[in-house]
Amino acid sequence: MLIYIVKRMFLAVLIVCVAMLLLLSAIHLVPGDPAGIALGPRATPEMREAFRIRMGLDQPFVLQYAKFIANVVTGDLGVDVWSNKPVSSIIGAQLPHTLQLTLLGLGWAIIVGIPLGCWSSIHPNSWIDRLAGVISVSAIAVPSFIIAIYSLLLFTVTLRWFPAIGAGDKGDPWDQLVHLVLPSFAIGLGWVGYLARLVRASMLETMGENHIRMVRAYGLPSARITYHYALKLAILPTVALLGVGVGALLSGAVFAEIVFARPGIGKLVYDAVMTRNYPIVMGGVLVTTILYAASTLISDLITAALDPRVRANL
Amino acid sequence: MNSNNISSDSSDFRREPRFSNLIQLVKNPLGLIGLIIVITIVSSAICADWIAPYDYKAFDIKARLSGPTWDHILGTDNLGRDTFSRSLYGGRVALSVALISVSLSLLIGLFLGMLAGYGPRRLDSVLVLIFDSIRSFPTIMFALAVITIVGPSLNTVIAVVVITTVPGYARIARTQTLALKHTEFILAERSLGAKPIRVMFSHIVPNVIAPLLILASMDIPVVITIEAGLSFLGLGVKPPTASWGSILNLGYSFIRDTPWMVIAGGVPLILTTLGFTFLGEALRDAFDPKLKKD
Amino acid sequence: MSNSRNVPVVDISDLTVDFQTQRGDVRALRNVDLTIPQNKTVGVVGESGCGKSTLINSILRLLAPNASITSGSVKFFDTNILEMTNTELNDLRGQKISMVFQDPMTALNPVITVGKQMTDILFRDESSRTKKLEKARDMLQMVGIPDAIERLDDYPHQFSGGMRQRICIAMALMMNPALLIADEPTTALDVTLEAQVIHLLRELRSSFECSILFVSHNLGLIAELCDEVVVMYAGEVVEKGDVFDLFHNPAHPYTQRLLECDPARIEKTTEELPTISGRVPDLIELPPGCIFSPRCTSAFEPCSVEAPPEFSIKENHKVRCFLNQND
Repeated sequence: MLIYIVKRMFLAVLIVCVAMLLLLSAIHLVPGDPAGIALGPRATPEMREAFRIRMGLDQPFVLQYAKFIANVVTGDLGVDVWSNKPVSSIIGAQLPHTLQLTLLGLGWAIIVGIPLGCWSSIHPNSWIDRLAGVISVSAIAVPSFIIAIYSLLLFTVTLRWFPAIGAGDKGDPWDQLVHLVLPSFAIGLGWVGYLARLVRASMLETMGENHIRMVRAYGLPSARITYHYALKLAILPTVALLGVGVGALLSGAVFAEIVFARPGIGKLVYDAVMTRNYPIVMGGVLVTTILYAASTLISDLITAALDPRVRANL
Repeated sequence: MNSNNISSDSSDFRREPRFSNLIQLVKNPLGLIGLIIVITIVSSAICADWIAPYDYKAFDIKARLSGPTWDHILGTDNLGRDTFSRSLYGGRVALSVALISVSLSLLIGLFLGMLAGYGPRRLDSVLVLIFDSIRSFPTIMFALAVITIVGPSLNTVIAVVVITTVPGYARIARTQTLALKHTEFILAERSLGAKPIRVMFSHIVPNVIAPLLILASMDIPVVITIEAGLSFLGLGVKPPTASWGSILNLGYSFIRDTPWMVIAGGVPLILTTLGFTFLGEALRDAFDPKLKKD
Repeated sequence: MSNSRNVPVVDISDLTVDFQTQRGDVRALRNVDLTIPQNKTVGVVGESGCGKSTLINSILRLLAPNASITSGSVKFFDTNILEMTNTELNDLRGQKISMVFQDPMTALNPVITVGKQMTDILFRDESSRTKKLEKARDMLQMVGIPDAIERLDDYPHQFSGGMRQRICIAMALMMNPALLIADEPTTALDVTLEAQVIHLLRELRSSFECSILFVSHNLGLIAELCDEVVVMYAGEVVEKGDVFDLFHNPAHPYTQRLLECDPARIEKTTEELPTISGRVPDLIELPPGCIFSPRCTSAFEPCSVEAPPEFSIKENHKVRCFLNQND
């Protein structure tokens, strides 16, 4: 098991390194001058040169990459172009908001989606099952930012039930919660669909397998079969999906943050894109990529803990 | 015991699509709805020039921010441009981005996947590592990063979409290629001296193409969503080009003045994503029941 | 429930099972009569689709939801299983009648240890966990699994196919059932393993004093292991009787052809393997008359008109065929 953990972590680190390599090389492969793009057409050659030196773009690529890795490992993500504050602390300040949003969004998706999927699998092809199926597919199909906009329109602008902007007062957890309701609803809805469908399919598939037939033939009580013998297997794909979900939502939260004017990594990076604030953009992408890799790593480790076959197939 | 059934059905691989599958597709109510919606949207996008009552660029400040009227069925935006017409042209943007990126991704993914599956092991490992790395990028963040470097434009959007979706196609192509590589009929062909390219094209491609097409059909709504999302952020199409995302962008800014832009701009997007998703699901159920987990 | 020596363990009488499908009702079993005497091994042989699986699923009432038993009874000693309540049924399963499945690779839950799966079967037992583990260990030793104690903590994938089948047999015999149903237990195994499993069954049969219902399409195995044999075709029992008798004097044309086609019995070198021409009939639209008549080379007038009833050739040899009418 330990070997598996080490191997898996190594893989995760490797993937992040390759990802950053790809991103960094994108800067160089792109036709045109990053400094020129960043500073705009009115920049003088001196300004561009200064920018290049500041960004380290004048040095050989390998050196840039090495320096970059070294910096990341020590936690230095550069400084904000405009304010000169360290990027890591800026991101650090915004990350909790996005994490809150992501966890709450996934949280309600789990609370609604998994039982829905379970129930559907126990009563397949009933009219409720079919209805749940259509709702799941629709929830997956409709873009989350549309749901965000429409819920803003309905619940805030029209009905005035919920506040429109921001994260709420710092000291007041209830206020913060109220501000989280609509955004987390918006980003979680699609995942209700994903989870319900996956759980339903996994349970149906598992319940149809030979070993379930066998324990039935031994007269084991129904509840034990469903929750002990079947669910243990059926939950595995869901764990994997949730690992992807955390990572995907961290990045997809940007829309909810913009529509509801919430602080967070998404909004931070978006503003940085608008102002060509390279270090923040790079820092933001790096952090979300690392978190994505970390969450898939954790879900893989949980899967290995639950499934002995994975541990055997190193 | 033996009867005369010489069961040669070694089809662990997909069969060529048949007509009966098409019938099954139409029988599925959601699939039918999806098909109708898709046909409607596609034709209205193609015929936008004829159907649209106004030029999507034409503005009429006096009529700005109005709700639905006889002159403007879906109202107008902040510059008095007709939302209905802009929606129609927005459909064009959405569909062309989807078509271009999905086709590119499919072809590139097919090629790379076959290469990874059929070629030497080292190459396969490298390619898989690259695929996994790309897949580890959160898509939107990656798009934002690229746009920072390259500047916003529709081509950037297409490029980002292609890069992030290729691994999905490549993975399927690779798995199929690996599975087929060691089957007996391929080994037989190779022992007869068939060149790899010939083997790939006549045997592997037909077996691989069906799941790839199914993935493509399910990818289309995803791509449309990404384009709309990026245009909504102001990072996709450039004004005055109409995209559903950009209509929503303006609508969002003016949401307290009139809700109609957001409603009218969002509905086509919702319908299209639903339609393609229903259709894609029905296609998958009809042509490859093994993928369907019922 | 009287357990006198003569009451059969299972007595299936006039069993008819239909499946509702989109195309119509499939008559999977028609008027099946089958008796399993105490301490005897009965073989069921027939090609795929002849209804063997439906038959054994009917005994333990494990049929799919779209199946309906339209007539007949399945008696376990003197009680009709088809009329049992769920509680009585669960009491029966695994304890009095147990089953060994065809594919050992998928018969065990992959994420639960073998020891746990074995002790779980003993859920009705009030005794301590240690006692149950001991019992499991004893059973594993009895089926020839070395290092039984350590292996109780292992997962199914850590055992080979042959060993997994032995584990399944151990589980099936753990509660001393009166009947062990073996559903093609060796089909998924290679010949060496097959021999081992058959050998094991023979040994255990005498120590456990149970009856065995052995389903297979392999005539050689049936001949080796069984006392009586039932031949099924397209949902019907076409011939049944003492194994020696039936194999040496097959009365039904289908049985005769089956024996001819068995590659193990071919004595002369031939260019082609013998087959039975024609196809298994569509179970939704049954042809009139004898079910085998379209493919039968000895068919004559009455065969296509009405279905033959059961005729007795000897006391323990019955056949459904007009050719044997006057016997």
